[in-house]
Amino acid sequence: MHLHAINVVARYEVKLLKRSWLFRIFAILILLILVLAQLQQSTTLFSSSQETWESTALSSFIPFFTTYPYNIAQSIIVVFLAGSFLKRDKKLDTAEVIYVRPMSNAEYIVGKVWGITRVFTGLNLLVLLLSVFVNLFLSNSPFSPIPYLFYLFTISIPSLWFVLGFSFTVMTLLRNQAVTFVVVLGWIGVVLFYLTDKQYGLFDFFGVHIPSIFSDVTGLAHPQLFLLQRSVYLLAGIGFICMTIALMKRLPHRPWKTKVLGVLTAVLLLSAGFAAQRYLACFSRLKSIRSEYAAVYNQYGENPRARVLEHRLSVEPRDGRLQGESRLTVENPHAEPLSSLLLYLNPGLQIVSAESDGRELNVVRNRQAAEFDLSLAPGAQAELLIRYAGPVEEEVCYVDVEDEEFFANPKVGFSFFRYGKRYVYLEDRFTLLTPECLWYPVTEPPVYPAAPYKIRKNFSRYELTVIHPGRLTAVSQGTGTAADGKTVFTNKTLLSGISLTLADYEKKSIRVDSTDYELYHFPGHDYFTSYFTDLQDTLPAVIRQIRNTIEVATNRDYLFDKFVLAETPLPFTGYIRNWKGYTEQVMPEILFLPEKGMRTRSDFRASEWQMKRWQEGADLLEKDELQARVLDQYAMSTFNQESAWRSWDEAMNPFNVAPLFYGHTEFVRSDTFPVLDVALNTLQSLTESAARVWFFSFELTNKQRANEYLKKHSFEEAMSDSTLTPKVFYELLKLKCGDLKNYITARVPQKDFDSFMKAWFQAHLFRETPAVEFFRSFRERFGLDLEAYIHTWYTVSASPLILLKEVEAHTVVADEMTKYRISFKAYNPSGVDGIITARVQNGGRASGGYVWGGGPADVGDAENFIIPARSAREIKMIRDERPNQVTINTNISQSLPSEFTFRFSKVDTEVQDTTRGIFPVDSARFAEDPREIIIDNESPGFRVVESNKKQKLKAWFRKEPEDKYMNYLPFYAPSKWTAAINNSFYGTPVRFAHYKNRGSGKNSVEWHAEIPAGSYYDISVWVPKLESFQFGRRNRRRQNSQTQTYTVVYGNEKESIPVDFQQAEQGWYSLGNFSLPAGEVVIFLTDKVSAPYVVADAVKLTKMR
Amino acid sequence: MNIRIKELSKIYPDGHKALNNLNLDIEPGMFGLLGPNGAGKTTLMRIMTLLQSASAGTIYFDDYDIAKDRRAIRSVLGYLPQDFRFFEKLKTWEFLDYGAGLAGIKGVRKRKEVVDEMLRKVGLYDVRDRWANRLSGGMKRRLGIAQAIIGHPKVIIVDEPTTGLDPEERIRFRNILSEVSDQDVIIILSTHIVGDISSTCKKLALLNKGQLKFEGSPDDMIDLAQGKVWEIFVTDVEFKEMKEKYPVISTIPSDGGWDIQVVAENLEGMGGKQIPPNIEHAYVYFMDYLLQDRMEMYADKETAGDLFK
Repeated sequence: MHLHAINVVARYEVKLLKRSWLFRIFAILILLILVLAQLQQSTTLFSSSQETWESTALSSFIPFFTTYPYNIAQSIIVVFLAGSFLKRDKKLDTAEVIYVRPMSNAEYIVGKVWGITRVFTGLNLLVLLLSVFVNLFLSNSPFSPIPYLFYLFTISIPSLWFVLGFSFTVMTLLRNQAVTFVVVLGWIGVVLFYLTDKQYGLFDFFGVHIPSIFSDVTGLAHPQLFLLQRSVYLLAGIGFICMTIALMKRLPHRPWKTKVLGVLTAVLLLSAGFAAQRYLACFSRLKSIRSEYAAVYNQYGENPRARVLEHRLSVEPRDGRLQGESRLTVENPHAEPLSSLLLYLNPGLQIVSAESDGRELNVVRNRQAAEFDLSLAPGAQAELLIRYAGPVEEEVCYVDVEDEEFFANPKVGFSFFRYGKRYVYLEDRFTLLTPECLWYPVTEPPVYPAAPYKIRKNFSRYELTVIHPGRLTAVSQGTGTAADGKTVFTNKTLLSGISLTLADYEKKSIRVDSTDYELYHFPGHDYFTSYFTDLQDTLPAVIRQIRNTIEVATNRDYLFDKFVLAETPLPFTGYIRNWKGYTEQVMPEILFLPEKGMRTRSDFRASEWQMKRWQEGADLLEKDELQARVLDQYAMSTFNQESAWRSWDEAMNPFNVAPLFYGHTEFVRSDTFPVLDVALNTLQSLTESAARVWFFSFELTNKQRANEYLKKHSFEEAMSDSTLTPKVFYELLKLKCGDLKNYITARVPQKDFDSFMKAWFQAHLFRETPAVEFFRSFRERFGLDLEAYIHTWYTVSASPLILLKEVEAHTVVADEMTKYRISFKAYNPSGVDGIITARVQNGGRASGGYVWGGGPADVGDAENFIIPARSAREIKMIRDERPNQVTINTNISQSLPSEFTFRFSKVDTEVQDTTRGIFPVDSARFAEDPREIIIDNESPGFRVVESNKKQKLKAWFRKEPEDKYMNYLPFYAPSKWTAAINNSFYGTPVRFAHYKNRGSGKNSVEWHAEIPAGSYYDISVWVPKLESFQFGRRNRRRQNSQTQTYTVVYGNEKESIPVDFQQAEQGWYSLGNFSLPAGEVVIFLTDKVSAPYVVADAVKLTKMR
Repeated sequence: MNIRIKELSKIYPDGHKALNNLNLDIEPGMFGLLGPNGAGKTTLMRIMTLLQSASAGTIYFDDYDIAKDRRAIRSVLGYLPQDFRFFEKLKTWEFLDYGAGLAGIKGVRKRKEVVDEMLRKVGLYDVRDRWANRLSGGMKRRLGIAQAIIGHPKVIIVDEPTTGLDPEERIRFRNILSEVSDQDVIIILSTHIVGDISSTCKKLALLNKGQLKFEGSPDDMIDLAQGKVWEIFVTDVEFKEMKEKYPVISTIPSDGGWDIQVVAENLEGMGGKQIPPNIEHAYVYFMDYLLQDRMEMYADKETAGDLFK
């Protein structure tokens, strides 16, 4: 190839492109939009309340924020330009004067590609330079040129070439510009909207949805995978460009060159395919190796395990390998002898030698399992010395975590920064080892995938010696003494496991009330001190207050001598596993926080600003008080919150410190109820969280799913049910623990129960205690047989049905004062006892108690009432203040939604009855009225006549949720009839209705009723009062009228009755009286309505007297 | 340089034989290519410019074979297609610069010299910075020939270059070509305006239905028609008869009738007078009498037939 010809073609391609209006408009728009977006996102120029930290903390954030939209916009515009360029060349006579020139086809196409690349790369550089400017002068973000260049060469250019080559090829094959646009843009759209996360991001030719964020310490989480994925599109792009050359309608200089090009194209495309296959193979290899490790855990799961009493270990991490020496004292705690000793050790670590009492031990290795020929009589102890060396395999971690969760690709907050996940670091610049990776030998495996709750805790005395370069700081549990390139950690308490971190750390520490608070951060990562400069004197008080708040919330004392916050690279991840009770991010004494406080509420500047402006009275606070509040807010949201900061999907908070108070300090062992330990911890840490509202998802919440599950399954079944996702299981666990707590606190004052729990666990610290001891203590203290209840609680496979009636609020004069009485009747026709929680809210402002993220809400005071099976009760509560609403939660029950809110707009009638409490009433009050025929959405008489059959494109790619019901979304109406649940709908136990968007009248629903004998009937329809937020002027205008027309067909008659939902009250709305003959009567409703949506709920026919 | 066309055939996929075993030698100088529509001229030129391939036979540019030595052949070619537009958004000088660059002229300064010289030669220097597609028709044609001859090609192929140009532009255009043809260059000129050929070409070839029917100088062709061109005065009735029988070449209304020129073997009995033929007469005579492929001299007949068939 002649470079001269390529350059000439490229030079003129550049000129033509630069002079194209399409490109000019694109360039101006992209520069403008990106710069404005960048300024908005990363600086406080537009709004001081802007939280910029999540967009600026790491040096790769700003370049990636630019690269992401640029790359997508570039791809779209390239399709248009590629199409018009080939169209230009199709003007034959013009092309021919060029085609007769002596350049080869390859030189011509390569010249064009080079020209386009120069222009787009130039624009990309310009955009990046503007970002550099923002980076350096307008934001607080650290600057590094590497991500800028890296993204340019690995993201922008490969995707440019791919789109270019792909568009050229499609255009050359189809010879039609419009069809090419549709095909290529369609493909881009499908990739962007549906395929980004499919097959581990293989389809993402943009390269912006695979983990691409750099840790400032360790770089990309998985550089090889990233580069492999990018090479797929680089090779494919070049392959398609070669194919375009081969398919070019111009005689080649030498005919054999076309064949060569054909071969080259095939080789390149096959290489791309091979790279894609390798990329997928990495994941499938990981999958299969994970299942192999899981199989090994399961294989030895039921083997009797020895206990490690003492573990003195010495390790030296060097050159990506670990060299270790473990001196273990083990004991056989069983009544049976152990014929061999089973230990678990990372499969990468080879056992160099093992001896006991001077005898060399033989070992049989099966991946992470190691069986030593050491027999132990019951109660016997032995000393072991094991030496091992090798790399630490990351794949052995979290083999029990479901693939979907394991391979999920998380983002920082609400951004599109994907950072990838790492579980082990063993690198020169950073080492982080947790018990999950088996970096030292243990007898108790970290997981037992087949029966996770059978995992126990082995509290041992650890002593750790780390040999490391002097420039690095070692962080582990216990008191560390560093000398001569060695740090020795000794522990006062027994621990269930230890971690090791080795990094170039800077340390900040403070001692408050005999506890050392230590903070280790990477050099240059102290972004926080400047926000707390005025806190110097008051810091101990603030820390004391935070600690106190958490201790009160957990009902426990902090028992360790130190509390360490250690910074980790952003990708370091731990999984929340219900059976474990803690993540690897919260180890005894140590909490691992992601780099620069990412994934936590760490924008202290914005926090301070927002607090000053938005919190009442905060503007008058002294600076140190304000800073104390900011620190307190950070600590509470990070350490004391159940939900993760900024999670879309009910994710749990991995930094919740509750395990430091429960999981790492004790263990209650029960072979009958293996979940007991976790359940006792969970019920103590349960907070009254308000219902969450999810504006963006139809789907049932995990709590609703858990409740649905418990209708037919027991807790015991749930424990081994692999179809339950961990999140649903966690909600189920919380429901059951809440139920257990409600059961106890309905009989025992909560205060007494709390103090009992605290005292009991205080007496059983750092050891395993049999459950019988707990039950005995409980019985002695409260006289209740908790074990018997737990048996039912654990095995019952049905849930109660609670019907509510006559929920009222009245004034009452008691103790010579006007008070308020709230009363309602509840009936439980099922065979299982039910527990309801009633919560009265005072004040004039009605609020649904919805809180973003499910944090604690103003939930009022709650009272629990047991409604025994097959009986009815009246509940009466007296309040001093005027009640605004009462929320009755049926907890575990068949009701969906399970929470009923009754609002009291007027409380003006006075009653004389001043009693309070729970009283039996006649269940006949709840009997059905024989004169009524009700056809609800689940009745056989209800039919959805014609549903919209149109299949949407997304249905091909997205798995629709399998739930029978959806949650009603106030701002969105589906195009198909959808069964949605909402409190204002009619139904028992599930309050749901069918609804869909306004249509042409082709879709309808029918209610069929059989009239036994001709008579006068009142026909009523159920009118729900729904929250409705319709966007757009058109919809708002229409909202003034929400008329649905019901048509009643009986005998030979047909009558249409409009019902204005805007005017009608919530409840039954009469369509009128009808003289109905015996036989079938049909009421139907079409989707041709004036409102943006149509709701089809229940119909009632009442025989007139 | 010499061009040798050897047994060249081109059969299109629909079976149409555009060229049929064509043999022709072309020597330096201007060479005219004549023939009616569909004779195969364009196909021949497209094969020569390597824009399409031959079905059989080959063409040698000296020793370069079109099947093998395409880069070498392309580097000696200049081409001006008939209906030639310019890329939008290129200036006059840029278009030439692009051509010069592709023709292999390296160096910005060198290319600028060549382009400026060429612009002066074709009289476009003053409009060098104007967008090429904003030039007048004649200017565009001059820019077209300029891009074809830039870089001193040895073979220049020009398709219908003067169609639609005013006489002044035509003369100017011919002069540019003549100037180039002095430099041991083959210029192949395909045209319908036979006058262009007589005034510029030393040799010409006539193609019909894909075959070579005549090869020689314009004078050789004119000689064939000596004594076959007649001038005669006819009445309206006679004029109609004449039109039926003979190709009428010119018609001038005269008192009570028409002064017409016809091509015929013999018109003596009708009072016609022989006049010396020109190349146009020769072309009509050749086609009508020697090839027995009668030309339709009246557009209305043909069109009406097409429309109402």
